[in-house]
Amino acid sequence: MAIDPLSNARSERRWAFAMVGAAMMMLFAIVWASLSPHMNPPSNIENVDPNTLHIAGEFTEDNLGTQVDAKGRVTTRIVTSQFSFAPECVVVPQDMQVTFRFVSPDVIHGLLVVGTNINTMVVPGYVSQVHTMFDKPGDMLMPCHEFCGLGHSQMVAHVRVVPIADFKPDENGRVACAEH
Amino acid sequence: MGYVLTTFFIMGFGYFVAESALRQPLPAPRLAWLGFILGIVGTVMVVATVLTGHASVMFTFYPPLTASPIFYLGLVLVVVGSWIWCVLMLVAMMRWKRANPGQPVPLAMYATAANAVLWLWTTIGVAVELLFVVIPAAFGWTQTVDVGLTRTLFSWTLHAIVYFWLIPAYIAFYTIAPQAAGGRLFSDLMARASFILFLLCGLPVGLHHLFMDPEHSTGFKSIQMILTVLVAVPTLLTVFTVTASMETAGRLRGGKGLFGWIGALPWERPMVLATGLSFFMLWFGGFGGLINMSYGMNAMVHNTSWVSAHFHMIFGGSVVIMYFAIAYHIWPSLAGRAAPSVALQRIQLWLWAVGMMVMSMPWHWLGLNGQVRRVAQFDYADPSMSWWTPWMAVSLAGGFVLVVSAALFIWNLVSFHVERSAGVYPAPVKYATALHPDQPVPAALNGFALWNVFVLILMAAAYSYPIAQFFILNPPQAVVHRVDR
Amino acid sequence: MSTDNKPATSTAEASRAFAVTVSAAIFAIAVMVGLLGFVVMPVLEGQTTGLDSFTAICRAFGIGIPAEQNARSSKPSAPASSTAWDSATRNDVRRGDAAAGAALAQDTCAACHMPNGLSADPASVPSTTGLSARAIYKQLHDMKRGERVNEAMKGMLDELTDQNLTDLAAYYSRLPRRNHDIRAYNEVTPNAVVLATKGDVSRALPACEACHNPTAGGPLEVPALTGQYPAYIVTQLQAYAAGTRKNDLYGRMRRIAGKLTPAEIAAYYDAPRP
Repeated sequence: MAIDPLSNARSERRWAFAMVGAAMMMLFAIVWASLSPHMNPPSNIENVDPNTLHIAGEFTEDNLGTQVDAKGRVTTRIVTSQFSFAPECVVVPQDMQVTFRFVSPDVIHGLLVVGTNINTMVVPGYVSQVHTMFDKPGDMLMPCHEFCGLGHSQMVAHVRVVPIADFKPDENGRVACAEH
Repeated sequence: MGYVLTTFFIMGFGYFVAESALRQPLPAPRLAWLGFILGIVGTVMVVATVLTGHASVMFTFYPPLTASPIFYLGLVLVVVGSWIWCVLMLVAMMRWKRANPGQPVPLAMYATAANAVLWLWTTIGVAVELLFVVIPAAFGWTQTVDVGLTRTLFSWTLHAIVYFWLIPAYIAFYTIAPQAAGGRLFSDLMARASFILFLLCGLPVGLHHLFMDPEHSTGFKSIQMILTVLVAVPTLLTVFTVTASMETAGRLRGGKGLFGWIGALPWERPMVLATGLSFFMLWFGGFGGLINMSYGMNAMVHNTSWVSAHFHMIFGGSVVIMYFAIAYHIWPSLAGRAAPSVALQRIQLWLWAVGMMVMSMPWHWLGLNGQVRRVAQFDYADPSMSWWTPWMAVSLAGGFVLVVSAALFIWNLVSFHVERSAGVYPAPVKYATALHPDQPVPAALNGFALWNVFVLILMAAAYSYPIAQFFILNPPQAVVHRVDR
Repeated sequence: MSTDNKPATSTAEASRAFAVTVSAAIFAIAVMVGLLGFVVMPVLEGQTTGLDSFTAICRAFGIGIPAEQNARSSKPSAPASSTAWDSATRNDVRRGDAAAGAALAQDTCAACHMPNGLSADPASVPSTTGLSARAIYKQLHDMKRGERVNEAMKGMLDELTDQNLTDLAAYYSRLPRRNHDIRAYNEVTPNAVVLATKGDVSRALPACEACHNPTAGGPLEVPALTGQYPAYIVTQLQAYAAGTRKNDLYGRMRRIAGKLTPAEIAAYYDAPRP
């Protein structure tokens, strides 16, 4: 069976166009998917000394959890360490923008909350910041998703989303999970 | 497994190609044996430290967790062994070019040499990380680690390494499968171009593993994402050229009509069967990869089972099944006798593909629903996870099928040597010739000089500031956490 | 990449033309990638978070301020423990003088902790053997500062300098680990063994071993508990659960002890002691 070199070249060229078109479509889809749902991965290069986190500043033990500031902005601060989250449960309001700020005093951790854009590495030396909004109430799981040592598998926290009516900050603007 | 299986396979296959495709003896076989022994010694050091609990840091290291220095030195030895292989491959190609001036290097060898060049570039990242940061910490010479820097250096290696693993499979697609199917290679130039594109697009993309990291800016993440999309180009080129080559084979065997050639292919031959199964899994794995590499969508799947499923499908499926087929293809000429049972080889390949699909498909789904990876225990009593159990059972069943298949593979190779088969002495391995063997090959596609310049420029653009920033901004460091004492 | 067959004489020329064309194409693609990655995407993404284009592009290159400078909390808070592993402290602990520590231990500590680091009263006095210098230093430092409340120790530590603490840490960390009869632990209730070796994921309880095994690679100041007296472990778990001991970083042990039932804590105590 003879194959004509010209038809060969023609099909190559056709395929090359199809291929470039396919790559462009993928590129467009991915750029669109990166921007439209406001995923905003944590790209704030913001340093913090992991060894003195607990001594002073933003991430001292009493300053963790959810806080509403004077301008009404909701910020949730969480320290991930071997092998637990502090605090292990945070309360956030439904349908409001919430800024999560994570730090690690020891090794690399990571976390995600299913169905949201909360998915970040927590690298010692950096603050990982994620903005999000929750659209339905309930308890959501927030497990550690990066190997941080032998207790990694048991490192789990919860995010409790409550309707705005039930979101009642105290005089310091703080909201914490009730003990149970 | 990822490091050891691949490195040894690729070294062995490369030596085989260098002798069989170039028809000249390997330069300095003693050095090759030295590389092999270094690799074995390194592997023993790594496995011993892992099994005795002195290296619970996983194979991506996770500094500041720090293991016994023996673990890292073992890995260095494996890499040094593979560097010897790289040099031997390049020397073999240059010798051949000197002996055959003006002739195009046989495609199988050109691609193998491209892989050696790729691997030399790839290992720079992890070598710098190990030698200048991690090993000094493991010996206790330094107390702290710049975690962002180590993650960035590792990302340099982390993605291109998979193309190092992938290229042997592509060599088989281009040079062995068309021959095995009784056809010709559709286009030699297209094949060369796709190997070069892997070299160019495979390296400056590692930051796409760090989309969810806080130590890199949006711009560098974005450009590395776009460069990752370009990897689709050599993959699609391959899909076209290999399918066209197979079509040629099918038509030569009398296949008619738009799809008739598919049925006419000799599916009973393991190499043809493996190529078909490999392409099948490549679609699923490739689709998963498109999600992973998206700057935004990555947030849904980063560090979940989805990612594990993706690389099991692509690497464990598409690539390793070709490793099996290559082994079956070249073993007769190594052992000097024909395969005792081709049927068993086919069964093994089918089991592998089915097992891999059954194991990885539930992972995709569970990953999307928040099953994180690298976790030893889940709380299945939790209502958000209780429905996972049956899927995990399915996945486990797939895993068992894979174990059976792997055992059968070993038996299939051993049986060459134990069963006194009456097979005739097989012909030496032949590589597919191009449809138009006289087509001139541009000098640029017969060497690597030009491409190395471009790799250098691209890597400088993609990685210079992301690495330099750690020396400019001087971020706070993390204290070493020993896991071995 | 056409297959037009050219005369052999022009092969070199064709090769050169090929190289030039490909180089031009690669440069063009690189420029477009750069524009898309450093200008188009960051500007569009910046709009969703309220950044102006200039800031967005600067941030794309990793230059400039974080997206949002968060206000520091106004609430002052005393740290649960003021021991921090900055480089000064790490170096001090590493350079502790074991010989000086030995002399000091003989004079000051031996009455309770005995010359070999073992205890005269296991329920309240721990074995100080088999611990890292960091673990010992952290507890001495915290008790001296009153962050871990222990009147007896505080009285002794008030007399000591920071240098004394690092010397003591160096001395005690070099003592041979207390030799205990491992067979006795086989009698420990199965539940306690599971908690110690596997943890309980449903309560987010990591295995005790994940940190307290001598080679676990847990937090820097964590004490190895192999060879510690069961009675001492029980009193400390009870203190953490009750909140009377709270010098653990970010409340890790307080949370863990709080999740254990009194029976689980006592399980260790009930077991035959070595």
